[in-house]
Amino acid sequence: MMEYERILTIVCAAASVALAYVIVSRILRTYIASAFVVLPLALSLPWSKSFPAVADATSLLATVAVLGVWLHCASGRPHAIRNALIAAGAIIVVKQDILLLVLGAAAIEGWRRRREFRPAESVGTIAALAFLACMSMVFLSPYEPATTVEGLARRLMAGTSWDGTNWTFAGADIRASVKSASTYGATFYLPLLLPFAAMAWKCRREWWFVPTFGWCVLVFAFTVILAKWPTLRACPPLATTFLVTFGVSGVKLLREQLPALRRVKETGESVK
Amino acid sequence: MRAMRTGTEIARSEPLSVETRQNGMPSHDSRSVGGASAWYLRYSGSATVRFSAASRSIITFAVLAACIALTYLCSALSAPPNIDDRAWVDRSLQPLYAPRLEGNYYYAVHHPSFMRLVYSVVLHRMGVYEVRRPLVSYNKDRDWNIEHGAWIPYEIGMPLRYVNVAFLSGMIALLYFAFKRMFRNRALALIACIPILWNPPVRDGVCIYIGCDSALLFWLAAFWFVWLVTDRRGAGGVIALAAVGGVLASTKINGAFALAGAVLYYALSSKGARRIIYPAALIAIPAAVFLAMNPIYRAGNVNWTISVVRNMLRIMFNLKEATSTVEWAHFTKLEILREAFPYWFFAVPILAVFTTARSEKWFRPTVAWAAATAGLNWVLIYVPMLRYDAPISMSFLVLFDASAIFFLAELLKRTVGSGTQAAPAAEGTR
Repeated sequence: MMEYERILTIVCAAASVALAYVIVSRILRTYIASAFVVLPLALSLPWSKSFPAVADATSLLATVAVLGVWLHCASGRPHAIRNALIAAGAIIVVKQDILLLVLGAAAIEGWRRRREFRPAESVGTIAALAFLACMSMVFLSPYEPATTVEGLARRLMAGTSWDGTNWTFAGADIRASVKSASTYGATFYLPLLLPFAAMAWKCRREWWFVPTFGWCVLVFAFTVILAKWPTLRACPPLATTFLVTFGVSGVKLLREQLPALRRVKETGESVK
Repeated sequence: MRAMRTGTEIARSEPLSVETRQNGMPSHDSRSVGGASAWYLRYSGSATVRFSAASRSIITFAVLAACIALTYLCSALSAPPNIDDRAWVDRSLQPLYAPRLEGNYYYAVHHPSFMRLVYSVVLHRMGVYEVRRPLVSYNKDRDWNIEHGAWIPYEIGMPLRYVNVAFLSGMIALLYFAFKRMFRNRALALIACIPILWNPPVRDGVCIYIGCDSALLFWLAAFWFVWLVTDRRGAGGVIALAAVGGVLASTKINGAFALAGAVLYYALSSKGARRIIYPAALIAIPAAVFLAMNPIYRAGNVNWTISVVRNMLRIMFNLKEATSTVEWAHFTKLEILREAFPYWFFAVPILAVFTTARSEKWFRPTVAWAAATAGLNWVLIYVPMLRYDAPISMSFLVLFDASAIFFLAELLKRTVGSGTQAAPAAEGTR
């Protein structure tokens, strides 16, 4: 059983990285830069020593999948909304914990497309997704429905659905895993967020901006509200959202700067 | 003032339709001047009108002093005693080099003299010439040493921590003046200092530790400041930089890493004979300052000096080997990178922020200083203790804050600038 969980965790973690890579490369339309964006995620997941923590690996996969679905919905392809709703439903059925994120995404997308759809349609969609999550809990959960609902409510209240402490504390690497969290604190990255957010804001007219930035804000908000230990290493979904959102906008900014950098290299243009 | 008035009028007027195409920045076919830009226009103008330059300086320093009190002073007051305190008091009370005294050779070789001199002055001013308490036994743990009295009393330890607070306050002041010189704006300089003030390795690691790390950070900041001020100012600037570098290396050996960055910078950026002369001066002058400040290295002939240097390196490596055998202190280089520099995770967006400031005059010296300090410290340290991480995170944050504020200010300026340029056209159409 332990081996099975370990393999499932590795598969889910690898699938999360692969999915993040596919999403980033679809946005950037370049394979090498996308690999550089996703590389820190691939390197940091084994460091988190989460291997018996299968629930967290599936949470990460579901979180990344939500972004994929949202981007597909925003892509403007034929039947994109219908396909996205089916996929979102499937994700909720498999991983009920992700319901809040999906509902948040549906609310933002409904508000953005308020001219295309009547309010009743948007509210109906959100209600249908919530109902689907409840039904999946009733029929697919191994526990009594009341227990499941109560358990989910308790876990959401206590913050364990987003709490990735297992990512940090499971496994043999307790010493090293706790170190930077205790030394740098849970919030060492906060000073970086303002320039990163400005960098992302520069891309606000791009087709991927609302889904990606909205996804990032929702995951960050839920983590802050619900997580007991919201360090980057303890919450892979949080780390992944920052990495994808700011990595993509970082590459966009680097591409803008590239002609000027080339000019400096070729002509030896002096500094100001 | 005229521009400010125009800006204020724009901010109060209706949103404007603007057509812009900026070099290197994204172009937007139409956008409105509102929100943050209007706020910037309105309040940047009014702050200039309401307060004189002197008042603004006083306000800025008051805010900085309050931040220092909240961070460094609170940290210094609240930290428990550390067993290394006892060893540092003992080494500070001994002469810089007195071979007949027990342990003096080790003290003189282990760390350079600057902080011993400073602490000895403070201790002597307090009337402390001897501490009648047992020395620390490093074979035993902290609790054992505390139990057996191998710690120093509060009334001796606190003034030494205040010395740390003073050095760190000096560091913040120097960084503030350097940022102000870059941005020509007090508020932006103040904002750039905030992440460094609240940086855990500096606040919780260096500030409370009686040792040479606070002075190291101060001299690192001083070195960077002098570098910025004297860059491209000829031989005089290089001599001043080298003199500060000598004191920096005499504070802690890893201070010399910043000097290595300066040597490389001048070797690559100078022309003609200066390509050799400046780097040579940056090696010779600090070496002379170091020898002047550390009497043990000139207590004999050249062979003696070489043997002292060898012993200094041997102590470093022995300490590393001894510490690395303990299970909790065994780290690979990648683990040290992860623990000492958690920012690595955002390498791509950080690089993007850096490139926006690449053509600024301050950028290259700052990169050379930060890369040499952070990179070589990462190579050297073997346990990611907070005070060991501090030079890495401080040098990174200086470069990042400078680049990020430049990027944000440019972004805001372009948004506002495009609005100001379009104002006459918009007025004409109304």
